[in-house]
Amino acid sequence: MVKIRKRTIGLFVTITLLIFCVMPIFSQGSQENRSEKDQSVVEIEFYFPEGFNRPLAFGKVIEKFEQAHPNIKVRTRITPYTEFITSLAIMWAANDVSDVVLTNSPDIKQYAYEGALLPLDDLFPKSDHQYYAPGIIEDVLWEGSVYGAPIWDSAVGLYYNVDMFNDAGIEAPKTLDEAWTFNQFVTNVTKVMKTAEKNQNQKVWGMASVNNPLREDYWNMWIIRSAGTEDSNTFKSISDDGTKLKGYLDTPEAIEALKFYQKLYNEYGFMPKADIPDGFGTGQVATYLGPISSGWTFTNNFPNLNWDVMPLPYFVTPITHTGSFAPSIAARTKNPEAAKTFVKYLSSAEALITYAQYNESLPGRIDIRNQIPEFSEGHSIMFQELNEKWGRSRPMSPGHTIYQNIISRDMMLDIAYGADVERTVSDAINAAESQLRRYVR
Amino acid sequence: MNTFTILLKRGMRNIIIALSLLFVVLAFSIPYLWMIGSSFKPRAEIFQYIFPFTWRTFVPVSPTFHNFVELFTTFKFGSSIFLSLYIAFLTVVFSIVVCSMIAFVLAKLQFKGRTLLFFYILATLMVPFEARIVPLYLVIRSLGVDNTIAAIYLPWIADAFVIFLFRQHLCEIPKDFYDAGLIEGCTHFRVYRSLMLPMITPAIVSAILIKFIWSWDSFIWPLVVIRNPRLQVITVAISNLFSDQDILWNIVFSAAFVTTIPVLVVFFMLQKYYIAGVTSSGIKG
Amino acid sequence: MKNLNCFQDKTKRSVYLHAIFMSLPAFIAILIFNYIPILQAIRYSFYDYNIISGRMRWVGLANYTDALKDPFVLNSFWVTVKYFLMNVPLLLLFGLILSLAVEKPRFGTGFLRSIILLPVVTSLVVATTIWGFMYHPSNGLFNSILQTLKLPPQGFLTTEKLALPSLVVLGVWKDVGLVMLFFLSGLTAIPYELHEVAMLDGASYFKRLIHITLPMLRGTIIFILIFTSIGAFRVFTPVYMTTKGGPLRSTQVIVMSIYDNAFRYNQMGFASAISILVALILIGLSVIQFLSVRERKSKN
Repeated sequence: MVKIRKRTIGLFVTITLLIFCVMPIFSQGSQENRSEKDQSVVEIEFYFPEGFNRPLAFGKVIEKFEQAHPNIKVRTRITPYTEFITSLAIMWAANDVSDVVLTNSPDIKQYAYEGALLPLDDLFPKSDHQYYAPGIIEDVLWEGSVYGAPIWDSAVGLYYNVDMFNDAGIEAPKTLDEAWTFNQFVTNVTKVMKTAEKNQNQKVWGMASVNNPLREDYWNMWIIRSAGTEDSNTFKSISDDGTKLKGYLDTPEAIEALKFYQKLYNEYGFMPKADIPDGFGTGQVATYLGPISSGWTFTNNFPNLNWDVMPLPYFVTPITHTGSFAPSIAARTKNPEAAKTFVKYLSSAEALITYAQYNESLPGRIDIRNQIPEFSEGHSIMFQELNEKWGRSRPMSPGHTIYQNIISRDMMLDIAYGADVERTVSDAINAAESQLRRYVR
Repeated sequence: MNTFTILLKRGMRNIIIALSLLFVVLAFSIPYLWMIGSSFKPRAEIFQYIFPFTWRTFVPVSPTFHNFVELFTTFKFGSSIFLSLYIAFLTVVFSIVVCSMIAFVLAKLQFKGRTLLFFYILATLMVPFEARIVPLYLVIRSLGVDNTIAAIYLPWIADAFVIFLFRQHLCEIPKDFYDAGLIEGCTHFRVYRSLMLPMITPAIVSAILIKFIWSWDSFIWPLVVIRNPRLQVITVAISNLFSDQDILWNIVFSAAFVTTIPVLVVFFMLQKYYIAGVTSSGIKG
Repeated sequence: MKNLNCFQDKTKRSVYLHAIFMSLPAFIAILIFNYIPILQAIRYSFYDYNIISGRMRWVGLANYTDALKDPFVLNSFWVTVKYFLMNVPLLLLFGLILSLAVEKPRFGTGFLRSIILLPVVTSLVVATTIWGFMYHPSNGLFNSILQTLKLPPQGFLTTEKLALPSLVVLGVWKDVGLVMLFFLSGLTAIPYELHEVAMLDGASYFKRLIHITLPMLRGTIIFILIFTSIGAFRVFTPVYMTTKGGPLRSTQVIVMSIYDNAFRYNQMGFASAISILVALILIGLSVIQFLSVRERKSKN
């Protein structure tokens, strides 16, 4: 009798444990249940990466949107920026797709090619394209149709440490016309660097960026592209259909530029081969390649830093990279109308002005830029000019993520670390073209 | 050999031992100390004194609690900590119970197909997790538990390492103990519960620590499975501080420091079970 | 004993019942959360599966043959083997030494154990950031020390030949505390009487170590060996957070390849094929380790 009871107790314990496993499932209802009850309200999901007050900024915009459109509710889904692409891929693989996705504009071609996005021509008709800086429109087009809302744009800019420059007696160019060539740039900034090193008794770098060595085409490929004249293959850096690199990335001018790039990291000791977090803020870096938002970061966090902006250097043709996050609508969405209404609202002046109060992103439409005070003063002026006069979208390809990984990341890292340039370039081109072959039409 | 040489040899040996210990202590604690020091520094100071290494690298020149205040107010890190603690607790409890039961079956009960069961479990270790992310997520969705807390810890309950560890230790308990328990009229389960489990205490303690740390440090899986922005585990919360435009280093360090505290607490509580001799009482005579 | 007879009758049935009920939760959990995904992954490996478009095209064994012919994949296997050959022996050696050092509760052993466990407890983000600085090619701690000793500075994570060993050092630093714990739990199971008897016979520390401690740790050693081997083959996060496979693919471990193929090149089928190949290798490795230690046992 005693034995049977003990066995029953064991059974009982096991079953209780199983119930414990199952219980939390019911206590944490997924939010989808709520919307099913109220049929007149449509709920859409908006997916974007974390960073720089985006949740706050979008929160305010969504608030206003929901007030104006009471029958649509917007639910947000956020992932860390570093895992954004991975999460997106998993989402798509599991058919768990958000309705509106904040895509990186150069990737739009790839997603459009795969049929993952809805065309948005009714929201951004051809007649409107004139109001935008040309770069961002180029980014969001695929086979003539717009697949991402070109509501933001950007430019790569160059910040410099005013005190360091003054100490070395160097005056930085203040307008685009005064921009230095790369040779002038390296000569002058090396002087600044060495003076600062003597003063501070520690290593000071000529130029650095958020990630060192430079890892994305946004930050590094403009250097190579500027070595070509405006219509040359070097400037284009990739074939028009985005699948061929031979004859574009390995032209004599491009190889020259890559060798120069390598020297920056090695011979000249000009750029660091490892990250220097907050290097510019703490006075270890003379110039800093950064986005428009860095200016406000420096002011808020490093009160002792005296900084300003200067135009980017160039070899033959001045250039800066543009593009930004663009909301796009998933093809598999169940609520295309609601999603389109939301995206249309996001592109309105009201939404962009509200958004800019919390996250300073340059609007895509030039006429809206002029309506936001922050963008008409201080360093924003230089960024706007860079965007409008020198701005080019990054090398466009339906296989853009592959290009990013093999060329802008792996190949450029290998070159920065000192590998043989010609061999690395030809290896990388072979690897990339074999993957990009899938996208030849 | 005269006394002097013996003393010299012993002195040398002690010096070598002392130096090695010092090296070990420094090597293991320096990164942790740097993390603590940095978490009390304002943002502008954290990377100011890295190159070259001086005392200022570790000790804040103008210490501040601001980072921690920000962490718990603006970033609501407290809720992340509670969530991770809750998940870790459930993982540990379920895991220890479930894994020890099946380890017991593998180690002590003789039946046909036992080896097959063993390899059934062992084989699960061989496929890297990254390959399973997508299909596992699909399974979770079809079970209807995606975006819930259960989705995070359910896949962690049956852990082949832990099963293996328990089985290992259970196998080493001589059969006499087991038979003694049986003869006294207990069921297998009772023997398991009252006799075997206490005897493998060090293994259980190791398992608690492993599962706790595993759950505490896990990143990719909670990231994939939770969509709700209010349910962020600590690793995801820290990762949110790294954006494309800026990295909030001061918050990163204070968060990192805070996240090590519960693990250390758990470890200190379990310390005493590692003292040699607690379970070594052998069969006398 | 009066209960013995009826107990014998029930034994077989009792054993089976207990076996089933007590292993049921784990069995089901493993089935749902391990085997079903693995079978799915195997299924994917026979297709050309593009995640974004969702298109699946049957290719049979093409993914496997491509993987075995692909120089990048083969390089990843080789890098992973190198990592394994460096990482596992170091972990075993230092784990053992440290556990022996802190086994007896003496003055400071509690403190020492906690210190050795600090790396295990420190989050990987912080650990890799700090080691990134210590390894910094110009001003890092290690290079400062080298320069004080008048030696040339090294690019630990930026030089092809040094990157992988540097990551091994980081890996050992991070995990040796855990290995020490495993050894400790194995050491506590060794009855002290055995050592007492040996010491009475005049055996030195090393003799006792080799003839008593190590043999009795055999089971623990197998466990640790398999645990660390599988861990070494599955290493991913430290590489992902520091070198991401560079420089020049010298740290491109196999899981990094799987990740790149799955989520950067969007080739889920190919990535799955690589994973299955890894699984087969690990199974083979474990079997070999198991059998070779078993053989030594039978020799005794």
